[in-house]
Amino acid sequence: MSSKYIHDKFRSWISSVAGVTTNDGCLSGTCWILDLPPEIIQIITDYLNPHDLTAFSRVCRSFYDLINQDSFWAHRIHRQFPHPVAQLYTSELYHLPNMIQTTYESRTPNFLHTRPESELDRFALTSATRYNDEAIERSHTKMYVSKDEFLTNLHYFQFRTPTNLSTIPFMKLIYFYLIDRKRRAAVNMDVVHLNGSYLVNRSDRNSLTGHVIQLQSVCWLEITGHFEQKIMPGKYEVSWRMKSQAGNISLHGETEFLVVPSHGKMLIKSVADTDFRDYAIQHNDQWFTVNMGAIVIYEPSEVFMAIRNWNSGYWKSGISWDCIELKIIP
Amino acid sequence: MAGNKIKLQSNDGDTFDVDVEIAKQSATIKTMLEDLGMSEEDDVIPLPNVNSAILKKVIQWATHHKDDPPPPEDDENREKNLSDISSWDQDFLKVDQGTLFELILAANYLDIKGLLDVTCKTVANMIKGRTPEEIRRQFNIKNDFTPQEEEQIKKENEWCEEK
Repeated sequence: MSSKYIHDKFRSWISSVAGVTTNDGCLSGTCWILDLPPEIIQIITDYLNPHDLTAFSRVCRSFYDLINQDSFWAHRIHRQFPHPVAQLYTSELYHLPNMIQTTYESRTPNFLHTRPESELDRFALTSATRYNDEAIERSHTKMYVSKDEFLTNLHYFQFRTPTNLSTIPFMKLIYFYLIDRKRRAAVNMDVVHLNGSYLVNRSDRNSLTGHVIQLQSVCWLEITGHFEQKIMPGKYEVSWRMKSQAGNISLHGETEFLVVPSHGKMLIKSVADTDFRDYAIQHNDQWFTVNMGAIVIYEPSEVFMAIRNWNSGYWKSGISWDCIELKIIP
Repeated sequence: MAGNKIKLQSNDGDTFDVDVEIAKQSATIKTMLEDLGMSEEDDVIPLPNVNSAILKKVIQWATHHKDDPPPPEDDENREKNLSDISSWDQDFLKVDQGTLFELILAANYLDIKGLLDVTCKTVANMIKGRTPEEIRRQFNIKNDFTPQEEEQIKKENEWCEEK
């Protein structure tokens, strides 16, 4: 390494000859950052968000080349996600598993509220039959998607679908899949009795999606929907964002929150009236998020969700729903 | 044993007496001492990649941070937080770019995780929120793309801006 003395000398000389171009990409020979080894540039970029990274890759060829490599993105995934998640999405997920052929014993889901003709209930039958713990173990079911299939199914929630997938490092596409917020607004679901008086579509400036579904008063509570984009294999935590009206919720009976993937293990979460009252006391009239549990997806799936409470004849009131979100967990 | 000193020698020949415990923040030096059994009082550890001015700064940093808890293990979900540079470190790193980058190289060579992190964060802060042209000016980098390439790269990345 040249000594600081020489650097200083050189710099004072250079300041009088501004704009001199050397042949190593620097404007005046004092461009230190290009002398750093790539592994250090990588550490620096760990502190940059995707937007800053894009700007950084547009600075010069050597940054562009560094950032347009699978290895750069695989490293970033390992730095930012828990080890099992990084391991799954950088490698394990794309290995074709050896599944054991097996016959499945038909099972029905333990729903408190059923609607046999709906897609959600049909997929719930598949989920209960093929993706219960016992069946998974017996058939050695593993999460799997081929890289081709991943690309064919790839649509982001927050980002546009890139047009020329083959020119983008695969691991970059994966990274963006991992950070993509997988969210569905309640207003984009089927809401039974959505009208001016029972349930209302309302704009709300604290909503994450702009509009929310407000329950004024209803006997038959039924909201059904699905995620707009296919969800890739993985384990996902499900959360619902909701709010009580002036701290008063009355949801007599058991309210079921259902999330059913077309190829995976579903989530059935039943919330009692007393739990809702606790939420209301805790959060008053502020938005809050309830973690409902997890779903496990084994092949790219459509994912359906529902909120159901219609077994008791009581009127239900005092709650608003903003959105449901899936978050990748180890 | 507490109070033990070792001698570190820069590539321009200056020798520094440093507490062993302070020097051991460098994983490189720690390994040398422990694995190679270099524990004699008179041993001088030569550091051929670090000059005297930078070594002095590194020792100053390591002395200030000698009682820090060990850095957290690397593999779990850490959110990268840029605002967590202590004010002492911020003052310490108010140096010209040449010194900053030489500190990074020294921290990397000596394997001092805390110093490497804080210097890299400082560089990242010089990049955040800036346009490519501003970044070039900040670091004196020549734009080596043709205008057509620049346009193409800009288009290439449009998908990953939020909808």
